[in-house]
Amino acid sequence: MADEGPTRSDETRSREHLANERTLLAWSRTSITLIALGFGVSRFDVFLRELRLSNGRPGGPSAAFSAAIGLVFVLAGLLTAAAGVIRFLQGRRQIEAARFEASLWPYLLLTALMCAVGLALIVYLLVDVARS
Amino acid sequence: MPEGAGRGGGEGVRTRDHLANTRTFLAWMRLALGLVAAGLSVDKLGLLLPPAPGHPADGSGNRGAALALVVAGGVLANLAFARLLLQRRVIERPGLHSRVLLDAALLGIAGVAGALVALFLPRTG
Repeated sequence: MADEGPTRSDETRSREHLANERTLLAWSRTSITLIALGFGVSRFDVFLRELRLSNGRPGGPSAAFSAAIGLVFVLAGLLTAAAGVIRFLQGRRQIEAARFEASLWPYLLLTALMCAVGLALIVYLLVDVARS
Repeated sequence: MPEGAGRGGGEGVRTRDHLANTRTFLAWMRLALGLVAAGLSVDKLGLLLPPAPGHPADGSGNRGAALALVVAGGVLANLAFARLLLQRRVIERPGLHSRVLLDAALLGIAGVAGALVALFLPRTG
């Protein structure tokens, strides 16, 4: 029976697929974090404005700029989710072919997106202080 | 797969190492996003909560801390990318070498950012 022992596929393939799935879920969590943060950015200014008005104070600057920043976050989240799904599907094929290639583009994309949302927020904070 | 790549154990171990490296990178990215979210909270909650005695009421004191937290998040994201690239090379080489210094730098940034949030707390009553 020694020659019927588990092959490479039997031994590790399922664990590789499960690791690939956990990685997809990690991409999804990152994407959802970006989207939730975008929602928070865009809605918090509306909340503050309403609060000021209900207290009989001027509403202050409009929340259009923060809505645009929130949109940048949500778009970054959607792109992150898309990168995760594409990478998951590529990973599945590569695991089946026993030739996994650690491509660079998803990480470059996410780092660039993080830089973009960070810069957008810095501009937002600086512009917001100039207006208030 | 290059000849002799990985820490031994074959293609399956190498694949799982790369996937684990990706998940670690994503976890650092979420920590960076957490710092950005903390920056926003410091900025916005400073406008909502009453200031503590001796601190300006316009929330201007919080703006610097908020900017520092957002910048720390950006730096952390870029360092996490550098860590990912280094770890990729480690995975492809035979033998295992840990990169303690870079991870310590990443944790240091997160720690300094956490201290910033702690500094912000006494500003509100």
